[in-house]
Amino acid sequence: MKKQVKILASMLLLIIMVCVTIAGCAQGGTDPTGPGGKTETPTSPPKQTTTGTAAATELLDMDWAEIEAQAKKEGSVTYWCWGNEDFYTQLGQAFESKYGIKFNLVVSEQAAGIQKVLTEKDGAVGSFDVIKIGGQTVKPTMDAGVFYGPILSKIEDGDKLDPKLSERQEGVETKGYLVPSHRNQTGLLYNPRKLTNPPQTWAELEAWIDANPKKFGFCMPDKGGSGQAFVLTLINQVAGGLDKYYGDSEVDEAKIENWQLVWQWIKDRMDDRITLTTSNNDSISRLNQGELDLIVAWDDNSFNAISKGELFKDAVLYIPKFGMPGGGDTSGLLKNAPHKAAGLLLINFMSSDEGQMLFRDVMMACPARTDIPATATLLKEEDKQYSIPWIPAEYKKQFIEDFTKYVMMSGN
Amino acid sequence: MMKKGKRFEWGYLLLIPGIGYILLFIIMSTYVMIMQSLGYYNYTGESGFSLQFWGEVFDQQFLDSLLYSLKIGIGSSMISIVICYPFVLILQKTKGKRILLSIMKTPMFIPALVGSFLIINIIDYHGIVNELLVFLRIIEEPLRLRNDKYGIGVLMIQVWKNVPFQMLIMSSAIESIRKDVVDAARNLGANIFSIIRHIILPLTLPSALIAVTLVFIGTFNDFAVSNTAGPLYPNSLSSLMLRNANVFGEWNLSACIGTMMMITTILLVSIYTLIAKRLEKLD
Repeated sequence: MKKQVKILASMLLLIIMVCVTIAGCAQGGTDPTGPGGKTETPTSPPKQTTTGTAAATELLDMDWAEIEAQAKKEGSVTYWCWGNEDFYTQLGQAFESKYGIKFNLVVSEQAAGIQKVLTEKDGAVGSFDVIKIGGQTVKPTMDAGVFYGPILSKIEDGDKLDPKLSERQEGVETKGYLVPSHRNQTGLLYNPRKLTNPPQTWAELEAWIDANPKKFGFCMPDKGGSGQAFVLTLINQVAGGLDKYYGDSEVDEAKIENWQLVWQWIKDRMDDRITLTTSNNDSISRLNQGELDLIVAWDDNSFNAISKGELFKDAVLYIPKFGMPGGGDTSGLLKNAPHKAAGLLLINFMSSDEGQMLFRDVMMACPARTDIPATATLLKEEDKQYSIPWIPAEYKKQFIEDFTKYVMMSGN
Repeated sequence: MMKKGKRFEWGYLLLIPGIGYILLFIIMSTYVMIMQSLGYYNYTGESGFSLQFWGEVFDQQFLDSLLYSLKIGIGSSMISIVICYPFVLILQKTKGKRILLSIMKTPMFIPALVGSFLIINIIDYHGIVNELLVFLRIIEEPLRLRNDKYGIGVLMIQVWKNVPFQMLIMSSAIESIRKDVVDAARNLGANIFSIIRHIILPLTLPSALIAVTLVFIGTFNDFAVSNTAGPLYPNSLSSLMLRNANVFGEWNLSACIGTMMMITTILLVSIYTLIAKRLEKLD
């Protein structure tokens, strides 16, 4: 009996060793992070490089006819994104019919996809060619150096893309590695049957909130971008503007000292005057139910909610004169993409007239190209002058943390 | 006595699919999680042994989340068992017991997230509860019952979801009590309360412990219900873990929280095993 146990234990040990070895190998041949092994830790995060391989350098030197020929030789391209599966399938079909290159779409949770990209970053060949980038994923992917490029200057209609988003996404300088695909904007969404004269200045908004307790809502900043947009607006209004933050790559403690004014503003109103929601869509849902009359919302979310019948048709979105942040999503070609030429061709297609029209007419988003007018928007053209850019992602991360620390924790 | 030089039993190889599955999907992921909590397996930046993350994880937010998760875990498992016992006892004597049990099992087949939204719809601003209260003129304006800061909504959902599960365990346990033992007690003059106290409770206690432990593990580690119906603050440990990883990219801190969740669960199961052994000895 004892011998049998010994054999079983030996087998278990053997299997564990094999598994650990496999896991160690899966970390990547060049990855210095294997536990128990010698750790050759880099002193700084890896930097973007334009010269990953000789073939990669050649790609940017090719003209578009050569890139197309190379892409056709590669035969397929894999695009990863989160959400909007129907739209990207349609975009892929248009790409396939134009170039005869197979389009593979991978849709997953945002975090899971980005985690996969980061895990594979040191491998010679990854699973995806092109990935969608938005929100909190800009900084970790840029810091990890997962992109090939810079490719923006190579894109045929690159000069027609929104200049702000081409330079900076979510406050992070993208240095030409990321190409804008569509734009989005936050604003105040309201029920016109209950609100005839929406607040335009900060003082008017404060007065409206005081006069209509619990009828103004925004989502928790860690649960949705519209909540982050409102906190940013608060920082702009009560903590001395946003100009001082642009250009910083790290949080300057001196600049955030007076954020206590922001947290105090929320705490003073949290119990009896404002309502916190659990997501961007939760805010819209509560507006639709009549629980709230004025909320912070994304333009595309609001437009889609009306299109799907999730929100009453006469809801109005506007950017108040005190300004609210806007940005957009981009696409990037991975440096370990198995089909680089096809990936570059896909990004070029997404920025073309045809691709941008699809973003506008099928996805119901605001095109990234400034020369293509947006139709799927609730915003008036004159409102767009009040759009303000996001501050660097490090500050955003900081105010999300601080919101929990100084508002939620101290309120309990 | 073992035979000397007994040959290797090739039959053990048949265990590989089962053991391999456990090793790959449970032990390996646990291993990576623990190593990540110690600074290894970083997706970005430096990797290497560090206790820094363990030093950072025990902040006020973590403790609030731990207390909240314990409250939901202990609260829902204990409330469920308290509701479950009389239900099962009454059902034993009810005609159409099987049909009733089948109906009561329904919440078990509804995913937690769907169940959560069902309850939210009931307590929402324009849900049945508020509409009824307004209709009866008890209140003028609907109450905001969602995401209450005490987690009462979450407890309600968890109890709704877990009572049928505990009923399954407890009804088998009560059914297995020999009828002649109860009859003998009756003959000796025991009333229903004495029978429950001196026969049913002691004989079903091990099953009750299992029921409570299993529900605790599920509700303590719950993500779906707490994330949809839970308070805005504190988050459950699972939500905090996700938040740290997704919003802040703090995978190592998330790994520390995951490890703590695992340790808490193992501790509780160990306590359960100790109690069960004591009970066995007492028997």
